[in-house]
Amino acid sequence: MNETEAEARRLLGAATEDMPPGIDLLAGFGAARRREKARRTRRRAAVSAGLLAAAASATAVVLTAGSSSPAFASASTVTTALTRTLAQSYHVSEQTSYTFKGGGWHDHCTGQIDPVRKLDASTCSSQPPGYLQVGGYSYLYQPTIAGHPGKHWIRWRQAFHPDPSLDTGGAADSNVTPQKLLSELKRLTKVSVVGPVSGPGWTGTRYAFAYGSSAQVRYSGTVDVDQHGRARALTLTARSNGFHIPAATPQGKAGYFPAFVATQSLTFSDFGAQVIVTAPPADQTIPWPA
Amino acid sequence: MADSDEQFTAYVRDRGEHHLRVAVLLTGDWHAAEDLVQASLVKLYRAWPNLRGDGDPDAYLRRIMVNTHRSWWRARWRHETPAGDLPETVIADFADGQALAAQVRQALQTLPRQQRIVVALRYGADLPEAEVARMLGRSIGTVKTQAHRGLLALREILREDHYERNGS
Repeated sequence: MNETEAEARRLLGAATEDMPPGIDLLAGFGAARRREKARRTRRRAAVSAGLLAAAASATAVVLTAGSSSPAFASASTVTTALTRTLAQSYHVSEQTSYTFKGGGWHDHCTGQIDPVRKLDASTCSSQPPGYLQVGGYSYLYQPTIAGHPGKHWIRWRQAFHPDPSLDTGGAADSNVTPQKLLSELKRLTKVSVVGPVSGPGWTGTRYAFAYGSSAQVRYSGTVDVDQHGRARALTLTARSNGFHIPAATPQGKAGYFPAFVATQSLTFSDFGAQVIVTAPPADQTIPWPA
Repeated sequence: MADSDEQFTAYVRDRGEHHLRVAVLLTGDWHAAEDLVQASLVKLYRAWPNLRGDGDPDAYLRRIMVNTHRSWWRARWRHETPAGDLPETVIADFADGQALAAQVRQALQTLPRQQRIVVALRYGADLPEAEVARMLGRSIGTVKTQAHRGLLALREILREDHYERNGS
């Protein structure tokens, strides 16, 4: 180690010597973890920064795409199917993954949703048994709640599936709901027909789309539309080899976003099925924050 | 689940302070560092069941911290009007330990962001150049160059500060 490096280590060591007392990462994390669990289960769709940034830039690209393209008729079929799917109750199964060099995560969620009656019961592999929305309240299950023996549910009042802004600037911990994702994709104007597709009790057509004119992130996916004009499946993949963020501040600092692949795969079923969600027993519930 | 939570809690108690010290080099102040580590821990917790065994939570958490820090910076870049100057920090006395700490952190914040990350990881977290390069997706040569330039710049900034404050 040369003298300069030794000096650097000394200086950087000194730079952390004034750590204020009272920082408890676990205390703070406890609340954050509950929020994160609630958010993940609530939305069922955990999509990474790239996917969000993808959707944000996709919006810009899609909105400027020419509506007179030859594929417009197909786009109309797909967007109508998505709109129809959003307006009725359904069951959904979702696989989400985010991978980057050296790591990544994945999750599987299932749920039954009634957007009209504002009901939701869902669970994710990352956090069983799940999350409920009923009667204007959200409920999150916890195996144990510190300081509250016998309580298992945390309750708070919340609007049904509030839509996060997709223009989050790539906040890595941001998520989107299937509803929001579908809404964004309704803006598609260019799709192509892949061919016939079928599933349990239905037949239909698979459409493919791709967007993202920049070299930063490329987006592609498919939508399966059944014989009744409903979206049965939706996949979305965002890929990036990493990109530099151009200097845009007076300081002239540039940024770099690492390579990633983010995928989200939704399968819809049981359209129009009655969704029954029962609030947990009151004596097992505490308000949040407790 | 409970067992996983206990292991995660033990990990945070054991390694949290180390990562907090790296985080403050990235962010420049302790409040932001605490926020950064906690936000990163939430993401680590999400991946925790898949990391146990052959996973390296330190490497994973570092990567999350760096990426989260980038995304915060990127969000600011998109949505905020950048300030023309860095906020002033009152530094009473160079000899005072707290003042020195604040001064070094302030100097770090004046480095280009990528240089600051490299310097923090290389000399703050004491990671080998190869690991820093792997984490940032850069070549080892690039990391070496940025670390070297970052150190020179840091030394120059601190020297100028010292001269300004002492009038010599």
